[in-house]
Amino acid sequence: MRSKCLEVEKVAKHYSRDGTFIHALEEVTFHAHQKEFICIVGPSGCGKSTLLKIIAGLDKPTKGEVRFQGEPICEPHPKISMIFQSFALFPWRTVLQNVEFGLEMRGVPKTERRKIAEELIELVGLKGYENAYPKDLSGGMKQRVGIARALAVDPEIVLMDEAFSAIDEFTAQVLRSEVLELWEETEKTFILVTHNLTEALEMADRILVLSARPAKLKHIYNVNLKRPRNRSEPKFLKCQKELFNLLKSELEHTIVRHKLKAIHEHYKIEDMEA
Amino acid sequence: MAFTSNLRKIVKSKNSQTKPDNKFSAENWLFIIPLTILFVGWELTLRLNLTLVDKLPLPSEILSVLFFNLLYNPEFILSVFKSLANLMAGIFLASLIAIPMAIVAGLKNKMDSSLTPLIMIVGALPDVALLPFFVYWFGRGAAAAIIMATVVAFFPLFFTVREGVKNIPKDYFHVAYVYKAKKIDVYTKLVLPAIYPQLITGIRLAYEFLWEIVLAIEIIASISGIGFIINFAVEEGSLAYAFAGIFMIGIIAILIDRLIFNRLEEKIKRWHE
Repeated sequence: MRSKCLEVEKVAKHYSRDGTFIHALEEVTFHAHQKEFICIVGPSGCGKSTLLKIIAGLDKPTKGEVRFQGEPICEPHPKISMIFQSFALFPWRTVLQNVEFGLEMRGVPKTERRKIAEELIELVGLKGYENAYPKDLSGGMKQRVGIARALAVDPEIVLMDEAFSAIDEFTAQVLRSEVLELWEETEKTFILVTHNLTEALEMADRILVLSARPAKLKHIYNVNLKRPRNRSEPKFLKCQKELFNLLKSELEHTIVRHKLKAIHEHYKIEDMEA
Repeated sequence: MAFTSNLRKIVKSKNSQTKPDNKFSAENWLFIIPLTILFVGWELTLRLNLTLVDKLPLPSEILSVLFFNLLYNPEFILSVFKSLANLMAGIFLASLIAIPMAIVAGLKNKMDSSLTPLIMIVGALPDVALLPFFVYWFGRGAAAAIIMATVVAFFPLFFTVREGVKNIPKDYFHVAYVYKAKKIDVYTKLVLPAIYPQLITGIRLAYEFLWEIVLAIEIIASISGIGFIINFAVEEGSLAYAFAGIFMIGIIAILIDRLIFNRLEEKIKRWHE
């Protein structure tokens, strides 16, 4: 077995927002190995992104801890980088300057970081766009810049928060296979949060299925499909059905919960969940 | 379909990169046409004796006073510079105070909810009401004018910059934190560039308010500057000279607007959505 790279140990999170107590995560435990591709799926608003933020060191768990190579994470770790749903490119920086950002913050000298950034821009297929500004790029191209920026700092873990959700399906499809290629060529661990089950099945070694809020780790689904995976293959469809059934009851929970919420908001009843 | 639309986007972005925006600079000077019409109409009304006001000077007279007389008068030129200097000093000092305060208010909710309502109330008061106090404390000189200008410039700067800070997407900060940006870098490489467009808008707004207030101060408190000259000329009955002073302000205001602010805004347009 490959070495454990990331250990998420009994991580719980609650916070209050606008005076409402929110229980986002409840004792989530899992380990990720080197060069593993993990997807985290769950009903919307269940706390998947909160979990990812905790791993990134952007948020602190209320209980439990996250360890990277045995060391507890309490702030962002230089070997963990992140790709965002909103791309989060700085509009005042060119493609090149955006890719350089992480290296710049690390104090890498200008000529060296330029060289690394140019290599990565070529790797993600944006050669010729070094001096373009994000506003002139399509969504898919923006996310390529986001990927290049995340890889520029040579991370061991790449976190992706719904990285393909804001891109049109055709482009997302191309981007997914490119990310898989990148992943296969390196030793990096990828963790992708998504609500797209097909996407999860296509990319992941293991899929963590979270329950409705407070999110518990309901199931770890091992994807035993040969790569590259084919969406129309009967085996793939069978897995998709299994995964969907695992999530279905959770989805129903959320629907009921949303309905209740709507009802008590309508009648201005005190919080029924509390 | 998705593929072609993507291609189109790529082609479009290539084009917009190479094509400079010449169109805007010509548009910037279009105001000269209605201005000329106004002057010609004014001139004709007076020459045909259609006017109701006594002693209104002809535009041709005003322009000749300005271009053949006043522009060579060192005292006049010095006054223009004095007013401009008071105005600029006001914007500069106001920026030093307003920008850090706006950043703090924009980033820290608690500071915002305790500070901003107070600033709103003070900002809603008529600024000119403060003038007698400043003149009383600081005398009839540049100091009173500059302090007054600083107070007036503070509010538009504070509110536009604060809005800019509040509109910075949370994910930008996440990016900065993930790559372990130092505190100073969060300000210099994220907050400041992000609010740059709003900062320019704020300075432009302040600049427009300030011409009015600087002139008012000079007229009311007889502080030396172009306002003082205009007032003096009117009292002496030489209206052409007074109007020439006003034209001069107009010319400077429009030149600064077109040559400085418009250029800055053009630069921002390269990246700002």
